[in-house]
Amino acid sequence: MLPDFPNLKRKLQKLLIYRMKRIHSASMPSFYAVPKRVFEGNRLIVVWEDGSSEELKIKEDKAKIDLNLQEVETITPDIILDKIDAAAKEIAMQQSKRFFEQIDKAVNKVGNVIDVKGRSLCIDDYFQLLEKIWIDFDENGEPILPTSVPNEKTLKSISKVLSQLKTDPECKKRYAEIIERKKEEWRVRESNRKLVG
Amino acid sequence: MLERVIENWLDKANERSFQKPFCYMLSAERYTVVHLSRHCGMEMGKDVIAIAANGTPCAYQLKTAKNGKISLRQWRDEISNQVFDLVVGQIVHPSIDNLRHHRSYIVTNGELDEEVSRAIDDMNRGWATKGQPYFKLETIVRGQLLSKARTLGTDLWHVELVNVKTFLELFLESGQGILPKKKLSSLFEATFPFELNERGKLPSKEHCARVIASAAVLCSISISNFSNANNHVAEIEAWILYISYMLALVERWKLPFKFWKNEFEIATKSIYNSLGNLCDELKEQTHFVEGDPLVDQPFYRVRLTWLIALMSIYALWRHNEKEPESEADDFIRNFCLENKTKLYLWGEAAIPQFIAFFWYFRKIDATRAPDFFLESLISAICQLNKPGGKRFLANPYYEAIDILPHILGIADEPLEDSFRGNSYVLEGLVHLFVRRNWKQSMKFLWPDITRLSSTVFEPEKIWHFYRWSNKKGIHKVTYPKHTQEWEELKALAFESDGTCIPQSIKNCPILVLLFLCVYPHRINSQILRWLDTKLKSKV
Repeated sequence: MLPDFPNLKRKLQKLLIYRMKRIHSASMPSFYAVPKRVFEGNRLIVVWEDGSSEELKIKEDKAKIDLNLQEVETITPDIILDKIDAAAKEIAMQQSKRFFEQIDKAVNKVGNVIDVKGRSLCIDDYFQLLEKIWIDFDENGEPILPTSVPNEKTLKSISKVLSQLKTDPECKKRYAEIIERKKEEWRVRESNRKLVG
Repeated sequence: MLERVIENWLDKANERSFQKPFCYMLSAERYTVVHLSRHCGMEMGKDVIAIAANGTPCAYQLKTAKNGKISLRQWRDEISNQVFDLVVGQIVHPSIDNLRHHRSYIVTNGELDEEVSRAIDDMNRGWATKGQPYFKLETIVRGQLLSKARTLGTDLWHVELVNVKTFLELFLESGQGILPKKKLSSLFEATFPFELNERGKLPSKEHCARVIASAAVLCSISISNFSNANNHVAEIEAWILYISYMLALVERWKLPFKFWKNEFEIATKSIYNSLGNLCDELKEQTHFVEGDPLVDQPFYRVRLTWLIALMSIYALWRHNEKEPESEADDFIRNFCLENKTKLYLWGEAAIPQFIAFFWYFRKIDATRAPDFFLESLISAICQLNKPGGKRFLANPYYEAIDILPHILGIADEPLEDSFRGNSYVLEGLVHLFVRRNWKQSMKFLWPDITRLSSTVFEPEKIWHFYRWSNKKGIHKVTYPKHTQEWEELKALAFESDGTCIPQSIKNCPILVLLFLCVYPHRINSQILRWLDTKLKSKV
């Protein structure tokens, strides 16, 4: 074989992988949490609280990095980094897509879908949405509201709705009523966490 | 190259570190080893007692050759009196037929000076002329030991280049640190024949038996620096790994007991002896600091937690063996009780250590204190891993050496894992607590328990239980019921079939407990319930 520098190259590889992870993480939705690592095995089964179970398919996410061996002599670090970043974003995109597909499937299953039929989201839609979901509360009794993942068009209407919530006394009142009701539901849920008999 | 390593190992070995491989060499020659001394003082000059295939009892005294040779001075000062006991003193052991005179051997990793050979010859002739020819001292020296090791070793170690590297890395470890279990297990993975051979046939039972003996020598040599450093904890872990892989092979090919009995018993006895040696070492200590004291503080309680667990296991084992109550039992009791406030829950991998202490604590304290100890453990896990919490308890796949850099903030890379809302051990601890019937306390704990899902790994095949890591198997995540019936929970808690535990280890609950300390990622509620029942009935 030709002379090589495997140890030094391993260090460089480590740096590239570290960068790849950072870019990947930044490209994921904002509420994306660090996933749990699975150290052994090839299957994952979840048994829900009601005793029903489902097998979650473990899927591989991959991205290809093309590098022409003739280019190696002249390629610049910037081009390498661009390729690494593109691969990281590609993996993040695949994961995000699957993630939203799963959410979509789950909300459709329980009927937590509000179809605004192409029009802009309005305050009533928002209240309807809050009514449909479970809201938890933190140790100080403050609601832990869901994270919004809007597209550009929805972002504008959501911003409008949120500012309306702050300024319109009527909306404020309705919001407070919903939150109070949700708090009661949450209390009931929490009081169900009990050992009986 | 491996032969050179064996020579190198033998040259730097001491009588303690070549005792185990010597026993395995005997075992491979169809001797039955019935006794291994702890080297804690002479046991009538007999370090190893074995029975030859023809039924002749044999006693061996092991001696390290200083500078490669046993000199006449060493012979006169240290050995001659002891070999007299070795030859003349009767073997007192329930497995030995006292009517047959035993053969006596002095075994050394070096050579004998000419004068020493002459002295032995004179001694033997003296007995013969007195009409006592059955008194005779025989010798096993370096060349013979090497030959035995070669016969057993190099032709059977199916180690490929990558594993030779692992073997050498282990062999060259300083022996002062933590045993690299993953490395040792990868060596065993390459050594034990778990797959059909090249012709698609099952390995023969005889071949399996030879590999079992051979792997023991491989293990001894790999960890020789740990043995030479008197690193008892590393030795215990290494022999548990060895037993685990041996039992994996036993389960894999349904090997009858006679094909692995000797090796299993030698390894088990070695572990028991190492626990005894560790206990002796602790008795001598005025403190439990190790290495550079300037940087020992973050590791001190991790070490103490580990030691309390091992001493608890030793005490339970001694009781199981019906050892007469002695100073050692008093020491262990005081050591554990005095230091129990220093136990440190650094991760779920420490839970088997806490549980070992809990079972011992129950044995020596009839008050509610052990149950409250269990309750506090459950509460701590709920708090540490609750959703949205700030602290965390790493899952049992993270051993102290993996997670401490992150806890101490000295890791090279960030921790890319999350432990929120989940536990591998909580369900088992809850079941143990339910078994103690603390219903009101459990009612108080229950809301927090429901916030954590429980994860368990189910290997694809029963023998995979013993492997360090498995490519195939199911991770099952279970969310507890929010509203739980007490009676239903009790029914779950009192089940103790231990169906996930292979039959080959079920006769030795103490070994299962030690296994969990070495393989914390195999912990689950089934094993804890089974152990709780077994330890209660046995101890």
